[in-house]
Amino acid sequence: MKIVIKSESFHMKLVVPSALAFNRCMAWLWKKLLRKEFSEEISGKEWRKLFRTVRKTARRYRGMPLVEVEEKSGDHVYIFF
Amino acid sequence: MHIAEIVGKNLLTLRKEKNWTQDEVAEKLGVSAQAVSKWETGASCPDISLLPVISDLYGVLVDDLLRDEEERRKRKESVMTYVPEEKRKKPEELLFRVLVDSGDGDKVRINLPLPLLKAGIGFGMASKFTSKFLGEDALKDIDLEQIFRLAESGVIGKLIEVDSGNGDHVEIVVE
Repeated sequence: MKIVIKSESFHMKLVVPSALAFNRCMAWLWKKLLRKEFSEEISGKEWRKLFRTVRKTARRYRGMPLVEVEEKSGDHVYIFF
Repeated sequence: MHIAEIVGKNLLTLRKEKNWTQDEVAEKLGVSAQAVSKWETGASCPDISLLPVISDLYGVLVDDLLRDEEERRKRKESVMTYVPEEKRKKPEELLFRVLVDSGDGDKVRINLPLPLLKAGIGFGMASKFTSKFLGEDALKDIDLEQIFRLAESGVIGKLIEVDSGNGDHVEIVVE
């Protein structure tokens, strides 16, 4: 997974391996974060199931933009699989 | 581009996709190979009565034969269509696209493969996401589960188009 942030004075490209961003540990962190910040209960099992699908999808759609944000100010944020 | 050239280009592409020769196509359609050659080069157009036969042969709509690639793509995106089961893509090949043009000039594009949406819906995350995190936004009443079911049952194209009072424009397209 690749994250690209572009603005007039700033350019950043961050490559995060899917296996690192969507693993059991991150599932546990998201579960805790959501419970604390939004009082939402999504179990660790559900997170793990979702992350498994994300990893599988990322492999299949490698390079496809998942999110593209273009601000009026000229800032761009892209997240690629 | 002249209509004969568009049809010719489409016929050539479709024939190449099927790995057929002009002779094979001619035989299937009951016409001469020269006629097929003329169609593909845009020198002439197939007779109108042959169009449904050709569309059946290649498994496309007559409309697809008459439009160039760009037009077909735009049409697919702009019109909601029902795809019969035999011509339907597998659900895991479908793409759920959310296009947001906000009133203040920001643009957001989200391309979500359907399996990912399905996983989110599976444990209610999608509905929690739209109802809680999008708050007062124009998307909050959109039922993603219904959209997913529509896409699975073969309805694709632009499924939702919302213009909100503050100038935001939201489209949900399945392709």
